[in-house]
Amino acid sequence: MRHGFAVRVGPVGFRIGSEWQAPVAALARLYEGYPAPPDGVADFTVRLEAARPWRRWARPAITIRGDFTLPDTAPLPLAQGLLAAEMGMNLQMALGARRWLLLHASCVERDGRALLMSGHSGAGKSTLSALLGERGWRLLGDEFALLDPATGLVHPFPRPVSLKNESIAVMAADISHERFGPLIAGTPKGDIRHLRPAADAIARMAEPARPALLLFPQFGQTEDLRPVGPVESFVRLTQASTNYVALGETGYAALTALAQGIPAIGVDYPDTASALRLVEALWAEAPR
Amino acid sequence: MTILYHRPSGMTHVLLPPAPNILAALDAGPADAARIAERLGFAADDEAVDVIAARLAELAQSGLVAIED
Amino acid sequence: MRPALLLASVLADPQRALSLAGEDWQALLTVARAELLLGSLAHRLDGLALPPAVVAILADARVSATHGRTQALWEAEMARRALAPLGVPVVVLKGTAFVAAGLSAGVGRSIGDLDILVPRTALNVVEHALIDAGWEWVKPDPYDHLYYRRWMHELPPLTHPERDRMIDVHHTILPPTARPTPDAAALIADALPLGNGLAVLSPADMIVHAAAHLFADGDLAGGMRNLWDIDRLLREFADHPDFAETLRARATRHNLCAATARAIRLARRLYETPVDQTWAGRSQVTDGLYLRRLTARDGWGRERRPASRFAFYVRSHWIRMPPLLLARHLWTKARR
Repeated sequence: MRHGFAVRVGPVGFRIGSEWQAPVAALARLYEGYPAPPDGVADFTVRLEAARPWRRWARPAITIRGDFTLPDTAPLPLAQGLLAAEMGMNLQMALGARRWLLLHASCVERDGRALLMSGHSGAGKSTLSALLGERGWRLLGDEFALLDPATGLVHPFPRPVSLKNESIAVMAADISHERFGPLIAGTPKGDIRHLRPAADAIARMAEPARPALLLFPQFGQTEDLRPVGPVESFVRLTQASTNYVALGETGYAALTALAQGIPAIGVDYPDTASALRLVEALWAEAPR
Repeated sequence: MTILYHRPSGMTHVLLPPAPNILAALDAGPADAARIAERLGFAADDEAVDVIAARLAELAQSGLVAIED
Repeated sequence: MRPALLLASVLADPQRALSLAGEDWQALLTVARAELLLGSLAHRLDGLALPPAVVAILADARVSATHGRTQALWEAEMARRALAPLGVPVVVLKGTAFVAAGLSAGVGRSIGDLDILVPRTALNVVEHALIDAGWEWVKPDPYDHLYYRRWMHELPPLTHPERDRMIDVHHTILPPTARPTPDAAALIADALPLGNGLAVLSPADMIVHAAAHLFADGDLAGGMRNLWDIDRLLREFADHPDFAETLRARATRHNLCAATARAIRLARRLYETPVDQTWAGRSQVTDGLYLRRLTARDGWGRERRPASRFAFYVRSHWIRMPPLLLARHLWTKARR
């Protein structure tokens, strides 16, 4: 392809090919400080292609393709090229990853122990993990937790955090603008802006952590805590996993071990301040 | 609730009683609803046999149980 | 080297993988994935000293293939349970047949829908038994149904919503409107029972079917995998005495001599399949065209040569349907 970019995030290598220069340039800026894929071989390929040959110039529209492609995905305008690349990388992970059980969860670490937060998009797990990542925790990932079936450890996957709407201003208040990608306005999910994780999250991206606590946060409720039993935890995590079925018995063993091995708590919270307070309190009580 | 991983299909099932008990009773060999009821200690209990027959049909539909020709 | 040709050459002789550089690997793995051959490649390269990143990707591919195998065999088993009471012969085809019969063509192979072959006279009861067992129509549109039932060699596709898997029920291996008319009764009569109530095609018929599928049932998409199947099958059955003669006789019986011979020649050019020259015939100029089309994929996994792709698309429709029928079909499609 005309333009290309390769990067390693945690244990995963990506290469992104593009018919336009702009998305690749934006990626290179956003992923400053990330290493290249090991052995020069990326696990996954993403291609940003023109929907029709002439659409490279006329009302340029990006079609996201790659090793794994969803049929009928609507093209994105060229101005949203960075978003297209990120969506393409997510898609490859969601459909292609087999080395780890992939949980749609954000994840932070402290003292070698990992806190997992799983929930529907809009539950606030992404913003929470980003905030914690600026407050003494190491961000392992805001989107996917990579559970290693062999060791039970979670591998970091510190992609840039995808901040949406109000959370953009919240984070921009005390973080250097150097770490932010461009503001992408008018996406189906509103405004999006990517935030590169703190330097230690990138420097230590090869360092896994042992899961210690699982939270199911839910935003917009009055404050409430609810213990979640292992069976419910298991079922919710199967629904939050994109490759549970594909891993077969390996996935079953890994997920039952996780659901039975660590406490799980449903956390309803009215605002981020209360969420941060609850997380710290629950963490302090989590068994060691 | 019982979570069951089914090796031949690679599917995971969440089962409610008496489905797990029925499966356990079938460990002793093929049987019909009445015989399963007996194995579960409900001999000559028509209601139990009906419940077991209904669950058996569901288990067959999901593939966990095969009906012999 | 063109990445798809590199893939073919490494599949044919795994030792060649030992001298590849990072750039070659990236193209090779990407093309293998796009051609649905990554699982087959992973099994071929198992145990070789390769770069760790490559080893990890190939291990993933083996996990995927294992899962695909489990799903395919289970779907066949569920179809068997649904159809067993009917007492009609049921022949599983393609990838599912390869893994069910334990053939090397099935090792690492990606498997899509379940394809089964049943006698034409049994189509109705088979259809009803499947629907009773929970399968549903994929396209409830009456035009599509009419199209399938009148002009195709299969029922409209059925899907099982709980397992999210499709089944194609065939009564022969080519559409009745296609000019070659395979002997469906012979396919079923000579099928080999698996011992569980299902059967697979005889070795020679398997190869003839793969060849028919390659040229008549589509636009050559997935052709590299199809020819890999043929290579594996030919190598596996080559030890049987007189296999070449049996194959020639079966291809003749099904009116598929030319297609089978060309498929064998192409397999030889791609995968160095050892074959009897007298039977496959000498290379033809058009073999080169087919070969270019089959390997038209760049190191990013993109298909190239859209013009030749289109030509093949048109051609494949012409083979499937007589001209008037084609016009009617395209017209009806265009108005919808």
